[in-house]
Amino acid sequence: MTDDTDGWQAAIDELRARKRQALAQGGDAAIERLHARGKLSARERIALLVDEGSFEELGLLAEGQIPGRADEKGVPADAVVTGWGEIGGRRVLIAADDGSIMGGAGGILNIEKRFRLRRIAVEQGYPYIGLYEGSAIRFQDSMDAAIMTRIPAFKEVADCAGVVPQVAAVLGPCFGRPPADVVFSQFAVMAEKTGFLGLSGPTLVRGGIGESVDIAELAGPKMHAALTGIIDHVAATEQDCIDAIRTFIDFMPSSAWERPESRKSDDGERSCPELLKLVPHNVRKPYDVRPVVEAICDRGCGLEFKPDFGRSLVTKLARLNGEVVGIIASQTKFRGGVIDANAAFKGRRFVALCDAFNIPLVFLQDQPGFLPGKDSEAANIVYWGNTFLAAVQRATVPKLTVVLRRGHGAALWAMGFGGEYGEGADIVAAWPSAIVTGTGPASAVFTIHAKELEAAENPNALRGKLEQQYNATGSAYRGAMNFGIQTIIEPQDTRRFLIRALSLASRKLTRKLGPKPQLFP
Amino acid sequence: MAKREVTSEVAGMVWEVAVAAGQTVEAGEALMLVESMKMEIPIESPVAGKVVEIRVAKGDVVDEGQTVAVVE
Repeated sequence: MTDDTDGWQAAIDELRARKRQALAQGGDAAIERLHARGKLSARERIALLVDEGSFEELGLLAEGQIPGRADEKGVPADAVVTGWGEIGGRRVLIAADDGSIMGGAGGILNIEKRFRLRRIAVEQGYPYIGLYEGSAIRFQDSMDAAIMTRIPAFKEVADCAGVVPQVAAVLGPCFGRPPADVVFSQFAVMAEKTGFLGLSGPTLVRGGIGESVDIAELAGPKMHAALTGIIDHVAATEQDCIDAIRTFIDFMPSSAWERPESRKSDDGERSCPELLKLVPHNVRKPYDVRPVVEAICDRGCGLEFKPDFGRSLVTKLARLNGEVVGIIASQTKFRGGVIDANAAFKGRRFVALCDAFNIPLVFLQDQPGFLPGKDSEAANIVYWGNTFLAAVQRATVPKLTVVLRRGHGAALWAMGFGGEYGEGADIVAAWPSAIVTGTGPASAVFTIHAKELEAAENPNALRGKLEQQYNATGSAYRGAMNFGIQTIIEPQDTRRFLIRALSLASRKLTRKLGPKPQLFP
Repeated sequence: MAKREVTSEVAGMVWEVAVAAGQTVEAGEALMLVESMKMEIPIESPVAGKVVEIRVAKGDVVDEGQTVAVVE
């Protein structure tokens, strides 16, 4: 036996030196510039995201070649850090743009690294987390037809959707390719001051169509958290973004073949007398449904999606007796809870998320219907309202509906009704004073009885009498009498009822695991 | 102290005006109710301060985004 360990030691020393060089990324000065703008480097983000010491990198020694600069040193890791780590002990795959190098853009190798990671995600069943900063494709590479014509399309991004949970964090200017990742993700989070998302940045917009617009207005939270609704959550700092991602992953199973983990923390028999104060009995009075949801669900845990978009619905992941549920609740504080195109889009995206990942849906209804009128028609309420409705009816997860005070119009079926034909909720319940009709009684009166009211001696008295009549015919008790509503519950028992009904209706989940027909994007 | 315009989030009819010019209000306090979708939607003061001006009266029709009051 010869003692050859010197040879091995030299080889190991060389490997370590090469890795150190690659780990330096764009250099200390470039990383300091990121810090000065309130940003972290790719590896700093990953270190905060994963359980300590759990990150294993793939492709550290890949080197991107810039077209026309073959004599230069290759771009370290082709500007993306890829690998796997653990969040709360569960494995996830991560791709983090390296903003310290050429603004976080890379070439074909950059894309191939993500591609391989996504293939592993889909084959093995692990969540995929993208931390985006930059356009993903280096400008020089995109201007070389030899490269541009061979860049793969986005199919691998779409193939992950609904199979494994995908997260997209917008942590810098993300123009060009990252929007595709965001659209197919189930949780999109944006850093408030430094995250931007769009097709093209201000410079290209000015050059291309002659429009002058600043980056925040074009592509920041005002655009995407409030106007387009593509971003689910805006975080004040990068640390907050990372915390939100960890929270989201905690609510998710690792893939569509599993159920989320149960985490019991609150009394399943807890009564909620506070609901009698939180929800006014007078149907004309709006209220904030967020404390209602908090009272009903396990205390201290939840993640709301798109709080500033489609505000007449509150869509929130929460737990009931430890089990993850998707809450869709009417927010009467905003326009009386009327469902407009934005709210319908938000509801449909949330239903797709829950159906894909085996999360039961709980509807808390208090809504006057879909929004009518010219503006709403122009916003395509017909399309968005009906696609929301269809998504709910097609969802295979357990569904429970409680009508708190009102349920009117076609929106009834978007919020879980569906009759005996096996399409709607497993169980439909209502609070005792609930009214369920095609049109709200007050609206019905002035629509149908306009002539009588005009001719009446005392129109107000007649109006009152007719409204009372419709309140009686529309009473939840008549719904219960004909078994369209399966049970009427006292408000303070809502939590207890939902937990028991959920337990009843959740057994089928084990037989319905696996990717569902695509509801994405 | 900066003057803030308070706008209606909904199109509807002014149902009830709850405050008058000169009155002190808390942040979140309802300045008026607008009837929309057969509900009485409160228009809340965004800040704690004083009502400078009420620009509408009971029975007025308001548009979404219309300035209905000024506070400071």
